[in-house]
Amino acid sequence: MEWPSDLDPTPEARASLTMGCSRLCLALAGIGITVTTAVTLFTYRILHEPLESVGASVVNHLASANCTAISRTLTALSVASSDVVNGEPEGERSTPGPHTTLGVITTGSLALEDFHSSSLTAGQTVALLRSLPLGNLAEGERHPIQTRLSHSSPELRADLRQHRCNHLGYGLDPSAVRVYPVAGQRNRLAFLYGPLRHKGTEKTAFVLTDLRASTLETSGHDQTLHKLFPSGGGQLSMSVRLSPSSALRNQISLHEAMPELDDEDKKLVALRVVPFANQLVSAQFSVSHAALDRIAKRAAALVFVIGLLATAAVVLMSRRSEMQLRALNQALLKESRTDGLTRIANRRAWDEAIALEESRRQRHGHPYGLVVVDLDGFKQINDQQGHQIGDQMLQTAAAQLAAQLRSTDLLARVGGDEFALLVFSPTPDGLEELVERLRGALAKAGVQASIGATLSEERATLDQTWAKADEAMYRDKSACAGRNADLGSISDRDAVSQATTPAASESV
Amino acid sequence: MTNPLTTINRVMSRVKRTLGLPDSISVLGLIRMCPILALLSLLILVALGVMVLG
Repeated sequence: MEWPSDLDPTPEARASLTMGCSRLCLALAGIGITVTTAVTLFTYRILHEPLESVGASVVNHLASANCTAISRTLTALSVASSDVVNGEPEGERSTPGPHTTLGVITTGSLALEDFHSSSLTAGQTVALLRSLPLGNLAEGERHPIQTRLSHSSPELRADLRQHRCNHLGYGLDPSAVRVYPVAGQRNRLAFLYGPLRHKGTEKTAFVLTDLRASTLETSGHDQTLHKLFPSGGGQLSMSVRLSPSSALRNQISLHEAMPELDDEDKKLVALRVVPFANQLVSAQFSVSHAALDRIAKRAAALVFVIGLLATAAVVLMSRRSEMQLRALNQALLKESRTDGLTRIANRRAWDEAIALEESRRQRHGHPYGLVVVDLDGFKQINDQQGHQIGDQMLQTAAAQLAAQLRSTDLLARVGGDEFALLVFSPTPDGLEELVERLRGALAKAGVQASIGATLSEERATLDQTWAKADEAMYRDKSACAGRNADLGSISDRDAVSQATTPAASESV
Repeated sequence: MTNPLTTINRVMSRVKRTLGLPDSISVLGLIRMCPILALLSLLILVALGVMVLG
């Protein structure tokens, strides 16, 4: 055995290298979680309120920005009507949006004279227009919206006069525009302007459009919206509603026609509702606060994840360095109690182990055996054959001695050429037998040594036990020297017997 | 394409090696050995759930 059992790392000690967390790890984790939580809450707070504000601003802007989609529709209608009046379009015609169809149709024969669309064919367009009350295209002229509005209250008329949609300056009168829902075409509206007489023929300009689609996909505001709401407009919605224009007679009829408008909307009816010849078109924008809040929540969760990952990395690194430090300390502890040359226990480990065993003997009465081994002629070998041979001799002796011991015994190098063995709970016969085995093993390896052994006594101190073992060893050394001088008349075995037996017998 | 289970096993082995634990240790053993990292992992999973599910 090379290592005392009480110093060798036990499985529990090895497990303690990796188990649990130190105070440093706990502190780092606590700080990390606290800081991460604080930053997460701060992130949520600084995102939540501005997003709510931005959402409300966007809704107000869209609701009051000339009813964006309707403005675009009226612009297209103005271009189409200029074909009727002038025979050619005013200015450059822009390509209609993906959900917009515009053109001019002859009222009598329903022949398309001008047609532009990116989604409908001419046949489909004529079929859609045929389903509208084209036979009553003159209805608009006979009952202009001013006639209907004359029944409304002065305040309401003042509101409508302030409505920017009535002063769009497109060269057409919005109050002469009639609006019809297209049968079977969800969200699609038909805007008609006319009939207008040109060169003896009555013609009507038309625009078929989906207000929601055109607004959300093609207007200039949409780009900003998409940047603000990158999830594709899920946070923003627009609803279009048609009501008979007669609802504008008073607030009560307006409320009956559009009960979803709140009091504020009724005061600002001109900003929310666009009156045409036959219909009131209400374009209502709304923002989903839950969807807006989801943006802030996700951003805060992302910050939380990043913070926790950083905390985990720091804790992991701290834990690894701590494990390495513990392992290094254990290795240093072991190295400080190991003889560098023979790799058995050194004097420090021996002193600790013998003191522990002595205290154990005093408490429980368990005896221990102390064996001292001193190599004979080691100095001469060192001087004559060199230190390398001397070192090899020490290593050989240590290996031979260790091979004869039980796993519970301790072998240590306590001096230059001196070894000591601590034998736990031996019997006197067992100790003598051990000494014989040691001597035989050393002799077989070509190492001559003097060996003294003794058993601990009840009233003897550690120093006294040690001195008794030393005394036995020196007796053996003297006997060996005497025998060598008498040309080896006495065998080594006899000398060992004479040297060890009295000491062992005394202790018994 | 790598099997997800293989990937999970590989990641777990890597974590165990990094923590200096034997490869044969169970998940419960891992939690017992490293409660703080288990707590952090749980919090990360919750945060990822909030992030994905809204």
